[in-house]
Amino acid sequence: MKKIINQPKDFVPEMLDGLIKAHPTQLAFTEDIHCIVRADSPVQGKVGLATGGGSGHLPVFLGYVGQGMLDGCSVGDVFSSPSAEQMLAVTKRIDGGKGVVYIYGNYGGDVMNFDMAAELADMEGIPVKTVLVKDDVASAPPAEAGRRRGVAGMVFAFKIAGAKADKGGSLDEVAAVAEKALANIRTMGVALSPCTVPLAGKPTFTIGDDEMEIGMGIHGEPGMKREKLQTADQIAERMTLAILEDLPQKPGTRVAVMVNGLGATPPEELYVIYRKVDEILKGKGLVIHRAYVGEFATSMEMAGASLTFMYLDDELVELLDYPAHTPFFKQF
Amino acid sequence: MAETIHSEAVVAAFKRVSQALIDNSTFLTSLDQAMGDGDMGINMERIGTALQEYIGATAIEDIGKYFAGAGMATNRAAPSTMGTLMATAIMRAGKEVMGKTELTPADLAAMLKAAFTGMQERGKAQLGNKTILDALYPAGIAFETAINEGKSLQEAGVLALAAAEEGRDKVTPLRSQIGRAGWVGERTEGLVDPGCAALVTIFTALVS
Repeated sequence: MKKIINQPKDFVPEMLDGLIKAHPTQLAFTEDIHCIVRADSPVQGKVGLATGGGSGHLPVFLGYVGQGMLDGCSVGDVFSSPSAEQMLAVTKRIDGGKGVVYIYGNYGGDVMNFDMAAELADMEGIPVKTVLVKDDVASAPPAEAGRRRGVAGMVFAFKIAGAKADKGGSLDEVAAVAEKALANIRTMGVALSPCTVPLAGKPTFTIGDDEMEIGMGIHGEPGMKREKLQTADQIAERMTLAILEDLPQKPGTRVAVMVNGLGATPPEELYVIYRKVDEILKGKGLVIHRAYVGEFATSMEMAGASLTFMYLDDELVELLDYPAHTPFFKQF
Repeated sequence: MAETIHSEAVVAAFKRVSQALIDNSTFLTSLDQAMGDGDMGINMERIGTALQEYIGATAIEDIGKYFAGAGMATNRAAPSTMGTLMATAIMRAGKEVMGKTELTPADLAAMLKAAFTGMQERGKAQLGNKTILDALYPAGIAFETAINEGKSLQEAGVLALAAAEEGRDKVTPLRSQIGRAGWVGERTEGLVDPGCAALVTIFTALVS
């Protein structure tokens, strides 16, 4: 293991401490540093938006806490869920009197803890709505879409729901528009090399120098197929067509595109991928409304990339274009 | 005349269970390594340690509240899948007896049922999927039946333990269908489910 860390067990709290110190006007925490909230929380009269999950995916999750996106985030150990108690602490701190929406990835531990937190919040008089992110087309066939994992597409869901909440949407409206966005969001990824969890000290999986895994999850969950490494154009085409096949669109449809690096893949390579994606989408008559290329949801130092599409109607366009200002996401 | 379970007995039971979780952590980890991510024993040890700290720091009056606090301590110590399921079970069991300072055997049966329902709702597994539910369900039924038949608490406990063991053994030949073990597929056939084993550990400690 070759990492710039102190004691492995201190990795997460020290990372959080650094983040809060670097962004003191934007981020704060409750009594527990794993419970990150907007510095100005609670925002009175606004629906609160919370997410949470394991560490190791920056900017997901807490990098999107800020104006126009999330109000709070509970953070677990690397790749493991925070506790329901931490989620509850965030919920209580960000509730501005209109209830709280939970938006997070579909993973067993997270679901159980958020469900428990929602139950506890309800007992304290805070209504909670849950929106699960299941955008990874590689994690289950369409007939079993309910089992799919949540990956980079959650960033679009944060953006849409955050804008709706900022514009004064009710609890039901914010949850509904997040669901609508997610119904139009799909992601597909490819991994080239693993990452190492500091406390485990060993790579999450092994893969040959000349191999890639199509559809691998952001914790190293098995993908669809392991094969010889292909060119950027071939990979871009595989990912693009897989998404278009999962959710076909008519020419003229507007789409937001995200090419996301998993941690060790440089932005240069991501733009080589984007170039081909842009060409294919335009060739099919789709209209690219916005493109996001960079790191949005990582798996520490895993090499690889994911591609996300969000198909847009007028409402989603308006909410996507709405300003946002967080430590990792700025749009004016 | 139904037996009465005083709060001292509740605390003593928590002590026995927490010690058993710590003592069996290596054993449970070895089962989990064969099919899961191998953290079950570590988490059971964390829960055992957290419960011991909780017992040491908490006075018991309202038994329901005591369970609620123990559930939160469990969740805090191990927000893993099994940890969260156990926290849910403890909290739901506590909800059944909120406000009570002593319990009847019928209360215990109701608590077991609530623990089962809570775990099932939280984990969304079905009986036969080879999870902790496959040991907990028959244990709860056996306990309730024995109490209804007028058997003593000790007798009912022994029958519940036997039913838990039987439930565990019944699903051992099956294939795990839930969580990480579900991805391991046919290689789980013939392996003891770590969740069932943890439940048997808990019941063994409760009965002893």
